[in-house]
Amino acid sequence: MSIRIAIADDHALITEGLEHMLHYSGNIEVVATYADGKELLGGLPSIDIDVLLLDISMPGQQGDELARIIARDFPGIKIIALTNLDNIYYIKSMLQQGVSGYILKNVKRSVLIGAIEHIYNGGEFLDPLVKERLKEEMEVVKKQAAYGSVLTRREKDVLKLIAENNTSKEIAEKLHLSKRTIDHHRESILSKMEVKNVSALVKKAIELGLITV
Amino acid sequence: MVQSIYSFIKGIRKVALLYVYILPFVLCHAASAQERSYTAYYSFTLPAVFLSKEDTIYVRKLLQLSDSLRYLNRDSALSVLTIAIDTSKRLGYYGGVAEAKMKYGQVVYLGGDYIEGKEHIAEAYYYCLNAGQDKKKMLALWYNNMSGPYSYLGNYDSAAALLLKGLQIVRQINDTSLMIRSYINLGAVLGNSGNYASSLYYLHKAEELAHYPGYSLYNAHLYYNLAVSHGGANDTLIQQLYGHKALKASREFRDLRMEILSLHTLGSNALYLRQFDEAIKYFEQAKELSGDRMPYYSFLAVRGMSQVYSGMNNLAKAKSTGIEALRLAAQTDLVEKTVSMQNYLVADILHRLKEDSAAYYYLNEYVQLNEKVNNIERNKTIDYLEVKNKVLEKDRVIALKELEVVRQNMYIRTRNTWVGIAALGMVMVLTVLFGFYYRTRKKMQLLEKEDEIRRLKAVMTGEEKERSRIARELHDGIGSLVSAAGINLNTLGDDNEELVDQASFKKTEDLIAEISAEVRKTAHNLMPEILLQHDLPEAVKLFCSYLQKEKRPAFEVQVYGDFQGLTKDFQLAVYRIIQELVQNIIKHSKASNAIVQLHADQNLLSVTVEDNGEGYDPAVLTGQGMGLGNIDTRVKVLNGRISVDTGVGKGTSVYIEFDL
Repeated sequence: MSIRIAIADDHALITEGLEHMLHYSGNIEVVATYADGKELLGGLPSIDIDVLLLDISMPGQQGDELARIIARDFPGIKIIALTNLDNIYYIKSMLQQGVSGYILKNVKRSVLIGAIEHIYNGGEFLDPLVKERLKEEMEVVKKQAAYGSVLTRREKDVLKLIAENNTSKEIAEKLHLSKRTIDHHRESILSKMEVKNVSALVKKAIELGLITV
Repeated sequence: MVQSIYSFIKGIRKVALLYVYILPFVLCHAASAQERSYTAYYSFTLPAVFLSKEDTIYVRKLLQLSDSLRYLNRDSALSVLTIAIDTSKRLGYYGGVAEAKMKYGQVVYLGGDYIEGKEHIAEAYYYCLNAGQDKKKMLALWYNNMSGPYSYLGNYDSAAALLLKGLQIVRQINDTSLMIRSYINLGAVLGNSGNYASSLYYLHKAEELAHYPGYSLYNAHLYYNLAVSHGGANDTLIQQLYGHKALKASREFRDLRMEILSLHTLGSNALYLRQFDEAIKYFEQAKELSGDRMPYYSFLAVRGMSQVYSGMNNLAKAKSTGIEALRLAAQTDLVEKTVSMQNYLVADILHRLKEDSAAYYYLNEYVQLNEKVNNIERNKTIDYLEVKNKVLEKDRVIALKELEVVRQNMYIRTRNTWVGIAALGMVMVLTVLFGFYYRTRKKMQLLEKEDEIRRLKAVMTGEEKERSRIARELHDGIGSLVSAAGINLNTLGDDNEELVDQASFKKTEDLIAEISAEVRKTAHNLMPEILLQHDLPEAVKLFCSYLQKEKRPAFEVQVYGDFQGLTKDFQLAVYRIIQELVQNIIKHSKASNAIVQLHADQNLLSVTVEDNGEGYDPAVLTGQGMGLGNIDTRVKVLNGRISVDTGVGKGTSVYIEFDL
């Protein structure tokens, strides 16, 4: 029994190339191809497929949006994002919508076929480059969690004046800025330092050595 | 004949000698030159709000000037008062008009024109009534002043009645200074009428009040009148006491007239007490002070001297001074009892010197002059009665006239008020028009600015559209072709495994991957699809992630707040600004680290782009180069504010905020 798949990509050349690529695997049958999200959502109810190769950037609805709809309405279909977008944003976005695989378009035929089969059997597959991007992202998050976000220069000035017990109005006068701007900075500082009030802020700033007593 | 005349003379000799003691009582008038507290008093009772203080002060100065001129230069005093009246009328300063008119009347009646003087004072009445908050004080003054001419005309009853009426008002307003003056005047009038007991009653009342500090102004008048009144009551010693007091006070206040009169009362007193040396001394002093300026007082002084010499039996000196006195009297053109009596006195001296023919001459002069004086007195009385009727009629006419004047003044004032209101209205209209013009101009400028912004926006929108078109073509055309080529190449490799091992195959594969990435990056730079589909922070993150791959400064993108509600146009415009700032860092800063921070709250969206690079001297690069000029324009188009914090070796921090 062969794996029934459909391809959604706005470029005929790509669709053709993929069909050609998968043709050599006797195990995989391309049931249908769609040029955009509308065609895809219109066609899916009338076909029965196991796996969907879904491009992300398409005219109209985008891949992540389509993935969400399909995952909800056709839970039996496994989705593989097949794209040349290797940005972490898209990767995370697609994974959040519950896709089973994320494969870049410069993938080798054997890898692609292997991935489809793997996913059809209930597995997950991420392109090696995508794995790398996720690792990088994890590191950034970890780093930020460990050290907190860096304060901008203006925020450091404002923090110092806050620690010296100045009101927003007084700080505004001292820095020749509007009170609104100072309140704005105050808010971003509190967010960055992950504190709720000024006394906690000052305490933390001293702990982190951002200000000296 | 001559003998019978002499016997007649002898009969009245005592009368003549007595006559010299009773000097006229002196009324103290509304103004004397020494009234130092006067201006101070008025400075806080200025009646009308329309008056400027400077102008009323000018009037007051004129009034003071007239006071100092009144005994020395009558005509000048009158012309000064005329100016004061005109000025006050023009100002609508009725208190000033009243006062000036009263003073004018005083100067006139003190010059002997009692009726005319009285008329002037009478005219003042209607201005007193219109003197605003000073009304009562002015009325009290008016009654005091009005009593003057009546007193001089010998109508003491009327004078006293007027003064008592004035006193009533003074008691109401509780003005001590004015009360003292009223008592003194009342004492003088009663003294003149020979009612010394009543005179002394009022004068002592005045004396009681004058003891209080600050009310010593009229002491010379008070003591002088007390001296004369006591003299009249034959209390010669007390007369002497008050005479000295009067002399002291008049010297203290530099009141020349009162000093002379005080010396006279002391001289007369000494003569009565037969202290001839003392008497001569006083009269000589009085003569010296009077000089040529006041011939009447000189006459009185020299006459006193001749009486003293006569009493001393120094007949030679009595004769020479007696004739000198008559010479001085001739200068004054005065026809009165004192002068006629002086002729008699000289005749008496000459008779005692046995110069009978000369004595006869003066006796004849006396008789003729006496006749004249009596006629004048009689005529005066007739005149007075006649004039009294006329005056009553005239008063009525004057009243109507003054009423008309007051009405006219009111009309002028009303008209002026309307003119003022009209002028004010004009000013207001002009102000409004100017304000309107100013606002319109400002609006025009604003519109022009808005136009410029709209134009820039249009340009930018056009640019963005074009970019979007190119980006799509890149992505859809070249991008997909490259992807397809990659897929086909992969398939080719899969089908022909011997190709994969060849270097050129691998190189072609890499090239296709590189082209694909480059196209994606370029397309994104041209139009961040992700922004259109998601939001600004994602677009910025993506943009910075493309950069990071190329070993550029490590960009840290920090995002706070929610950007969902912002329009795509606005986000795209902000994105372009960030793009440019980031490019600047890459091109110029040589930084190793950079922060791009986005923060949105309810009020503001801020962008901070900061690096730890070389920085630059802000004085050297003022918005030009580095793309800051372009950024400035973009920020302005979005109504934002930008500030750049930099310096050589300091790195650069750009802060931009937009109102939401």
